[in-house]
Amino acid sequence: MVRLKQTKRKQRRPLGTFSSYTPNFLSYRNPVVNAWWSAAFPGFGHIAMCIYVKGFLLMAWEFYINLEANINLAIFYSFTGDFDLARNVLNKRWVFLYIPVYIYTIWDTYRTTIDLNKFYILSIRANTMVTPFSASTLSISFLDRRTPWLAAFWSALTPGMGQLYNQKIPSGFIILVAWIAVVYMSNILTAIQLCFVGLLSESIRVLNIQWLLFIPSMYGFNIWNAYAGAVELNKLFEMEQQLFLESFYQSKDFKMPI
Amino acid sequence: MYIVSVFNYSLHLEMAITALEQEGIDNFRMLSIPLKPLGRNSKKLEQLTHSDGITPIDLSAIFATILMLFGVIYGYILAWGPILWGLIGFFSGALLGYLYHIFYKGGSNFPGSHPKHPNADVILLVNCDPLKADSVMHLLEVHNALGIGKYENKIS
Repeated sequence: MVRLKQTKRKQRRPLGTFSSYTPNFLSYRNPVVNAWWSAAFPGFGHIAMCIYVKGFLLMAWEFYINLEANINLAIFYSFTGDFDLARNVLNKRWVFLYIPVYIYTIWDTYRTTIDLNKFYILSIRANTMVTPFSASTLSISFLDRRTPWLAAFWSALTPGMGQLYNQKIPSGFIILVAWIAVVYMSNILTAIQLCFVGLLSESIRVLNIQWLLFIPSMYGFNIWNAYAGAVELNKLFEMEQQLFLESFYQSKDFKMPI
Repeated sequence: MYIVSVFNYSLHLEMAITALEQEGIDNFRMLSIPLKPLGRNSKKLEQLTHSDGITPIDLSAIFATILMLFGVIYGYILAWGPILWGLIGFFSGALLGYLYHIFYKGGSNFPGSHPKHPNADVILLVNCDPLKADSVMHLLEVHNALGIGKYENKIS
């Protein structure tokens, strides 16, 4: 019978990995919170779980079908009481395709977060740890303390920058590009400028509602994601250093002062 | 001669230890005792057992997103317009989430404001020659030790 060695056991359930482009490791997360982000913007729940490829593809799908089906416009007209306009603006060729994917995304986020939490507990119990440094030809990433409110602040200025501060290059840049597209298409910067100089009715007229309604969920999620990501990095940093110190600086040859 | 110091978890701590090793102090002459951070870890244990990982930033971000959305939508038919109402919704939602946490969850969980959060994370004992004590203490000091003390066992 072949037996697994102790080191194999640690390799079997690693806590995560530090690639030079993005640190990716397990953390204990709340399934309801992640499911909520999937409901706010399909794809964000998966990005919160660090399942990036699925998250990016679902994000792209959300952008495409929402724009084709005019979901945001329909939401806007429904909430302001123009129910006839809401009915007319929806594109029936696309809107029914929206429903199953939307529900799947929320369900999948909730279920997967619970699974990942189990893997987190198993990894912690097996005393596994990440290698806290990685360099490749084109990039370097390393485990160090991050200041959570600074991460939140950068994402509040421009969503994506907080993730870049947390060294997450793929999610940082993809969110940055998506944010730039949304800001440009919604024309919100012109509207803000007009609003602050007091030309309120013109400010309202330049806005594109369909694109504008992407902004609240993108803005809220990315501030939260940057903050939570920095907290998770800090927790991992402390856990890794604690394990390192206990492994190498608790020699049995140390002479106690007694 | 024993030099006792306390540190936070930081890269400075590892740099201090390796600097001491370069000074010729072997690793069996150092003892590190990582302290269990009661504030955060007791919270983490609570999260593990009760699945209650709701922190103020979660609730704040959720409420801020929802209220910002409604602010933008109803801003179109209210006097101040979608931009200002969106901003009002964002900040009032964030405040609402934070207040909920303070009043119903009993206290803030933002880093540094937890009452049980310890100021020190690691105790480091260095057993060294009394002649080296000053250089060891200097090294610990320049690497951001939170506090340093020494103890001389006079009998041995």
